[in-house]
Amino acid sequence: MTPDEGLKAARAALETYDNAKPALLGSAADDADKLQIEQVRSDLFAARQTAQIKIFNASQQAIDDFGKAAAAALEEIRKSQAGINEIKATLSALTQVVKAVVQAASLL
Amino acid sequence: MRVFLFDYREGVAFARAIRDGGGRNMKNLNQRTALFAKLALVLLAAVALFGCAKSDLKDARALASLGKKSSDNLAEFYGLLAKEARDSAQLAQVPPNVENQAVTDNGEALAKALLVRKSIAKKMSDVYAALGGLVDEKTPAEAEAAAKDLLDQLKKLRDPVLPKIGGVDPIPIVQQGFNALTTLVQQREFRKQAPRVLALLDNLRDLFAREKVAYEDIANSYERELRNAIQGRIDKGQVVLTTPLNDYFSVYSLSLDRVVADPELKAWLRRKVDTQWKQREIAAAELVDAEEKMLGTLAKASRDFVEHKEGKQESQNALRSATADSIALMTNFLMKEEVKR
Repeated sequence: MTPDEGLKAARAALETYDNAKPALLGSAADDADKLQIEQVRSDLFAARQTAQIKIFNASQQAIDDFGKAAAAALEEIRKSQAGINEIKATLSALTQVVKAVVQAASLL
Repeated sequence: MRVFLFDYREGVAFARAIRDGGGRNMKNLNQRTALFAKLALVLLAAVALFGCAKSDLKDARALASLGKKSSDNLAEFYGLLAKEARDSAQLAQVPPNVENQAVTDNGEALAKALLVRKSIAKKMSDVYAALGGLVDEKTPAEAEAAAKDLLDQLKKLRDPVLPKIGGVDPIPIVQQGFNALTTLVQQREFRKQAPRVLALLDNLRDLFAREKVAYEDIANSYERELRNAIQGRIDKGQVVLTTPLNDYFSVYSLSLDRVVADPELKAWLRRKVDTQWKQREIAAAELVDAEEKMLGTLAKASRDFVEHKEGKQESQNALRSATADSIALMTNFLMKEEVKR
């Protein structure tokens, strides 16, 4: 059974039990019986949660890979940003060139 | 850094030569002409490509902004699911339900898993924010300011020191060129990084598609437990009637505030809760679908941009609309949560 099928089965079991619960409680002989009915319901609910957890656990590797890929992407984007910043430095350097030319020209 | 034909180190070396050698080097008119000719060529080329790049950059900015917004919305969705997983576990233990440590532990484990997903959606948002930073509008403005500075210097250099290149005055070219050059570099870097971000987004979509059944189930489970808890209280006559009838009575400036004991009123309340529960179940499923649709349109818009496809404007509009729908559904859902509490 796949995790998806497991979850569907767990949900169906809980819903079926919930639908039958009023009748079960109505036929309960005493409080101990009622407690037992509630205990079964609680276990079925826990089983549904466990089935949900199984789906998440199956993605653990994908989550780890995503974290690494996101960190790598951010690093690469930072490098690109540094490249753009270098353009600003280039412009500044060009301005310095011209300033130097102006200074030198004034000496002529 | 080498930008097309022009290597700024050449310019810097030239500047140093001027600084170190004084006026003697300035007599080399050919050297100056060559430098400015190269600069003008680079800037002319940049200006020629500028119009296209500027439009591309506008799309890039919109895509990065929408990508961040969608990712933030997805993070909020995961946060909501984490809360519902934890609340479901608590509601499932409200008497007459029995206490069960496994249910509490599972609720915590589910909330933790969903908060991990919230953090990866936030990472996706960070990546889009960084991508948007590559094409911010500030950088070309700074380049323009630098160009103005340069222009002021060039004006001082006009005849006879600054030669005209082929009879063309380089000053207007420089003025437009610096902005264009920066825009082109921004465009190039954005386009270099966009496929990487798209691959990341595809991974996130795959994860969502694989786990969608669990998201729907958690939302469904929460709604069911909430309904059960409310109806359990109604059955025991512990519910204080305020809102349902007050909606009608308020026009007469009257309100009810009493414990419901009347069997007929209890039955009516149960039916009303059932009706609302069904609506909430549908709304919860719609919210999950809306998140999936939003991710799909984000991927399409990103792919259309990366692949220079026709109609990328339409795909961005679709993304804008899907994100707005998802945010509206989320807001509506959260408002109901507020009212409920």
